Amino acid sequence: MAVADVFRALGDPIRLEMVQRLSRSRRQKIAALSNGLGITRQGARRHLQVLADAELVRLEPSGRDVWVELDPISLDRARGFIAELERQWDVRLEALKRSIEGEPPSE
Amino acid sequence: MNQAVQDFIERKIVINAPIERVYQGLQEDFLGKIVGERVPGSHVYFNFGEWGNSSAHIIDVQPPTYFSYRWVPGTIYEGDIYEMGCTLVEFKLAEVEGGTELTVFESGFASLPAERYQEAMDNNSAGWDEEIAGLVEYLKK
Repeated sequence: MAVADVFRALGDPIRLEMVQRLSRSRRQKIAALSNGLGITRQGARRHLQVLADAELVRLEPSGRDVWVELDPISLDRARGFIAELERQWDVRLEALKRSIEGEPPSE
Repeated sequence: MNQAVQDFIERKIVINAPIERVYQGLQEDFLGKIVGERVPGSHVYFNFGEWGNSSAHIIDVQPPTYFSYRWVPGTIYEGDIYEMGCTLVEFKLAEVEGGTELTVFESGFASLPAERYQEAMDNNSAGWDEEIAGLVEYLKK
């Protein structure tokens, strides 16, 4: 699973809200997850399938209902990737600042 | 199109020097690793020494306020960056109190292909509840 799939899956306010709810309570049923989002149960399932395809959540059928559980690995990877690139830019910018400010004035 | 996710990195720093000097410093320092002509449309590469060469495509050059290129982020890649999937890196310079503000804006992460960055992302083991909260906040910004 790649960071791009994670960003794509999260590129929707409803799915982002679902993930946020799951980050507060890791395992929930579909009804609780989609409550107040203005979507049908079928719509909720479609959104959850996108999240499942990106390996952001695991779906576990339970009778007529489905448990939804957050899978941290993909989010962790996306966060790690972004954090690492941010760190690299910080290091480069800091080095540039030191290099420029450390030089004697040019006159 | 996509309001919820802003797939970019933005970093800023204020450097106590005139804007021309910061632009020149940027060209000599980090961008000094570029081999090739630094003009719009030019296909060049970064020479990262023992790490290897990394291809880039110069997009726009407007001294002393703007410089941009595309490359494959987070790795060393020599070849067709558009085939591999690339991000746009923009340097923006502005005169502010105390000197020059230099902004790096790297965007286009959502267009990156699968399976390229796993290794870079595999080594995070810290408490993930906080990390998820942090990422969601980041994406909601």
